[in-house]
Amino acid sequence: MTRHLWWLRRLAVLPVHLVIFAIAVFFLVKLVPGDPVRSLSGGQTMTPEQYEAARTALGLSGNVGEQLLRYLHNVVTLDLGNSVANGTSVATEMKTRLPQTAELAIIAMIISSILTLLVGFFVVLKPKNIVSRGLRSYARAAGALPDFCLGVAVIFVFYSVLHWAPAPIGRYDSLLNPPPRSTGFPLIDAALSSDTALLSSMISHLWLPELVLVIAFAPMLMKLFIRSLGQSVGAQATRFRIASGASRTTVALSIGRRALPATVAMFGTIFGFMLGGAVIVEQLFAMPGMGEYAVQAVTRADFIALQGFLLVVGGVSLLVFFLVDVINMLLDPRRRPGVTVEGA
Amino acid sequence: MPWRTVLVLAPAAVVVLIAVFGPLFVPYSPRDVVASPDLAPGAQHWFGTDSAGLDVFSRTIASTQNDLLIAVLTALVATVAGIAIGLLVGMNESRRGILGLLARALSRALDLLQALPAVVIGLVLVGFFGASIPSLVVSLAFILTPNQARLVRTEVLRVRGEAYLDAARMAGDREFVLVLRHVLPNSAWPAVENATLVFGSAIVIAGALGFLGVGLHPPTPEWGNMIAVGAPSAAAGRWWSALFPAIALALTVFAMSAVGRRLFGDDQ
Amino acid sequence: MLSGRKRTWSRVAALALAVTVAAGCATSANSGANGGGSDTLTIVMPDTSITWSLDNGFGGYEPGNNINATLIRKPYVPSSQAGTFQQDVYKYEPYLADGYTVSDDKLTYTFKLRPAKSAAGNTLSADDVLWSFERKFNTPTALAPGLMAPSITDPAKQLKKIDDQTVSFTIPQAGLGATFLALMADLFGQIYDSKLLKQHVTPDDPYAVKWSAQNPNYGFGPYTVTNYQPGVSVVLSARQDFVLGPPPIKTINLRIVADAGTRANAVKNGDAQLAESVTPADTDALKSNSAVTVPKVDNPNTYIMLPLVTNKAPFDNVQVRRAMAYATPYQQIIDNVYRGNAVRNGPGFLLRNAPGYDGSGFPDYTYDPAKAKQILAAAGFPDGIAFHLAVSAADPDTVSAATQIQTAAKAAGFDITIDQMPAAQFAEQRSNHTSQAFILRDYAITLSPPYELMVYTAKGSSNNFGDWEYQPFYDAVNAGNALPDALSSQAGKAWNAAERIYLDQSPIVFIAQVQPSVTYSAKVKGFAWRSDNWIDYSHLSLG
Repeated sequence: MTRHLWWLRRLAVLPVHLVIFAIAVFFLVKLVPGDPVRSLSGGQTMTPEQYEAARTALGLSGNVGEQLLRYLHNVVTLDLGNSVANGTSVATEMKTRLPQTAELAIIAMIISSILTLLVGFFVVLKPKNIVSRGLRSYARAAGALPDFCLGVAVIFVFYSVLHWAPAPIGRYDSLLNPPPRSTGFPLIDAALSSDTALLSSMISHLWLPELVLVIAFAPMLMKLFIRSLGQSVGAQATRFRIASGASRTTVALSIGRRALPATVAMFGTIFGFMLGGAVIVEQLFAMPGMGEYAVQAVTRADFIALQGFLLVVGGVSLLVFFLVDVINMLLDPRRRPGVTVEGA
Repeated sequence: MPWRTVLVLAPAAVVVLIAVFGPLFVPYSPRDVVASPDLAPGAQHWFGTDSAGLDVFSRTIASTQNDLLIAVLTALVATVAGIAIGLLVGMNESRRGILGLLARALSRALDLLQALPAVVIGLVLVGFFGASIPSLVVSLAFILTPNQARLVRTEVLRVRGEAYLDAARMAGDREFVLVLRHVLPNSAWPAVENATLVFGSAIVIAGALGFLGVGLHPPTPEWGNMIAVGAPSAAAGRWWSALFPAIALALTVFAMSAVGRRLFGDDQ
Repeated sequence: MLSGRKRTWSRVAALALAVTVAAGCATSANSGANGGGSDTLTIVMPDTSITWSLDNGFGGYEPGNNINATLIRKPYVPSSQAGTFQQDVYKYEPYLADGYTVSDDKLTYTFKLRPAKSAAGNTLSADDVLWSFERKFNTPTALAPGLMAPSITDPAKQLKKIDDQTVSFTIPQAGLGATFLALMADLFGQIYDSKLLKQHVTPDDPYAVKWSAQNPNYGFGPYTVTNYQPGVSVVLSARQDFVLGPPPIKTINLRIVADAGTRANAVKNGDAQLAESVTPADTDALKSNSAVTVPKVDNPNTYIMLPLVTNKAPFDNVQVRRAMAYATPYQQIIDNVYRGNAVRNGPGFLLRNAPGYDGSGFPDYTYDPAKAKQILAAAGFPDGIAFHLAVSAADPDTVSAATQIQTAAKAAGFDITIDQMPAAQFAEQRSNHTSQAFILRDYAITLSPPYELMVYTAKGSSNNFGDWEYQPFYDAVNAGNALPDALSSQAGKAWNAAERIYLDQSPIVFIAQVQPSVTYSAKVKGFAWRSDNWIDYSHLSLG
């Protein structure tokens, strides 16, 4: 039991973090400028009585303490409320949008990870190769090409000019019906219902946004991986392995294992970032997801939707970070908390 | 100076020169309507005009100042704060007592900050503080510091277990000196190397915020803003108002990252 | 060998990519065939935050407008552009009601209801009318009370059920008749299926307002919603039992596409048949394309305007406001921002085609920076004035207009700083009158002269953009309201007197009237401009 204490303890403390996080969200959302009632009414005329009544209907009456308590009660009972802007249930929206954005992000991450591993090993093991140099430069350019620049350029080239991609006006062709909902992930739902027309339409609408996401985000992973791979190739542990006669594969794996932690940490960051940060890619390709929901919530001062969004994204991200930490600690036992660095 | 170094540092020097002196030599005012909108690049307007009638060339050059300022300040603040916080948290995380508790709490707070999408935080913070260069730098640093701190913390956790630390302790070095002399140089490199990414991200997020309505007020020239405003035109075939600032942005980030590698990294 | 295995993986990856791209190519080769049938229309629109119930809040209501119906409506007549229609806003034709009669004292309007069927199958009755208005006036978040006053303020007293098929409305003043009828023909006069809604009433939601926000098909309109994915798409199906007969287009496919350039492209390439909120630059580029129609109507009611908030410096000084009216580059905005797709008929706001319209005696506001400078100097500001101009990031054309004004007003001595803000913040400053000046594009849906005069000037109203309360103006409007017929030439003179005061005091600079920002395939027939600037899908046909 004590052997597993290190990750059990982390797991047990997760709900506590979520509650603290919820309180932080409450105050953060208060910072959003704009009046939800005015936004809701489109600026149209309201009598003062109407205005007050509308505020009460939205739960905005009472002082901060009362509002906080009401809010925490809702959080604990998992009642995310109804969006101020259009009355739809926030929980339903989250259930619909989270799998959709996650699908985009997961596919991009899988492709990026494979690319990173391939490119990383190739570049480090064959440094003098011309392709290697090119890939190195590409990795170093990480962040220079923002995803919305790429998105606009890519749409212009592949749709407007070449017509290789379908119109970026949705996840699938306008005349097809949406898939029946089973998992919430559009591709899986389409596959499960054996709707080949829908499935192929979805794939054809996906390749361009995925291309943009991968080109924009893979370099971040590659840069870090190449760097730490290079370091661990020259490290003592590697020389030890080679000297002790381990096979090439074993050496490569041991290099990889030591090089991964920084990259895995970055992985967690990028995933969390994509959940909300792919908003512009989602907007350009008309595949509204989590990020777009949040941005709309802020611009409309829809504080209920924003609270719901932050809670869900925060919860998922905290989970992902927890997993990342656990993986890192599995890879490198020295990183586990409680590992003796005593004398301190 | 070896010519190789000059070659690497020259682009960055050019960018800095443009940032400082560019606005003095531009053909048109970067803030005023000077011609009909949507003119294609030509003799009168080298980069054409945008959808409001402002000269794209003058604005692209003039933006260098604003963007460089924002990006450099943000990268500086985020990296320094990130290293400091990362060191603090990494060294003290596993201690018993109040210091350990604080370190762990700070670590969790960093996680929480990273759990929130950058654009949303940026929207809220800039919307709250107003859109000016200082408030933009503060908001962007807020968004980008946690990752720097996280990278440093990961390295600190690794370095903690190295043998030379124990050797230094046995030789009588005080903890603080130990941290500065041994831990810092060995664990700061991910943050410093990532600084160029922070640099680029700062410009990009500032542009994204402009896209969503909280960037620097128009008609302040700023690449991200120009790209965001020019994007719908580009989709319809009027590529020049978005392309030129995008190229300028990419070239600047590339030039700056070359400097970063020269100064801080090993160039293989 | 490691590198060998890697090579295999690379080949696998390349193959996968090739298959995917091929799939993309294969489908796009078919995309031209979309929407070819005569019974489906694909519309691409921006995200307007679609709402299904006006009593819940004011959002994007175009789809909702096609689900609901009013007692009377304004007829569509051809405009000067062949194939395009427009509402005649001063006449009314039967819709859910067969017609109406007016009492001799012009105070009571009696409507005879048709046996129209609702989407749920219930027949229209007077109870529906009474309950609908009860709901509108007893829900805190409903907008009807603010906007239907003073014609309707207390439905319990003003509405009377004569029998199952007859309802009467009594208005306080005869002169309000024109406004009242216009209100009944527009969005706030919609009648709901009370039998259906009553089944979903809860103590928490006594008029099923929240329920109707999630369940749109509670009306008597030409379409029902068959599929709704918030933020993504709406599918509407024509109702066969619609009171005016089934609409020509059976299925309307609404797709939300955030990027304006992509919307224009979609129509250009045939991926959609109608695009809304197209940028002026794209509209301009599409004008010469014979496969696409850009509508032009005779009297668009959308104005781009510059309210000058009068409750603080510098625009508390009427001279400064007048100077601003001479410092605004009207033609430059029409040319640079709207590419000629806008018109300035004069400095006023009242629509010129109203019966009895009188446009004489207005100040001649044109772009004259020298004159503006003179006026400022006379007012005690020889060195000019600095102020902040608020603009909404959600409306790029207003941002562009603000830029034009900033540059052009320099010559008159105005030093303008543009404050761009997100939509909710803009709505707040607009309602609370906290900025010094702002710029927006807006329109009055109800087009009767007294309504147009009061819409942005009412006392204590959050819609009083300039926070301007000027008794002589109110007196002039009241004088007009006391007359029995708001559209007579006698009334026209009264409205003219009021408008002269309005323009002389200049709390709002009316810049230009803007054409609808819609483009559609040449195959689409029957596009009609409406005063609410929404599209009536039941009037459209294909091919």
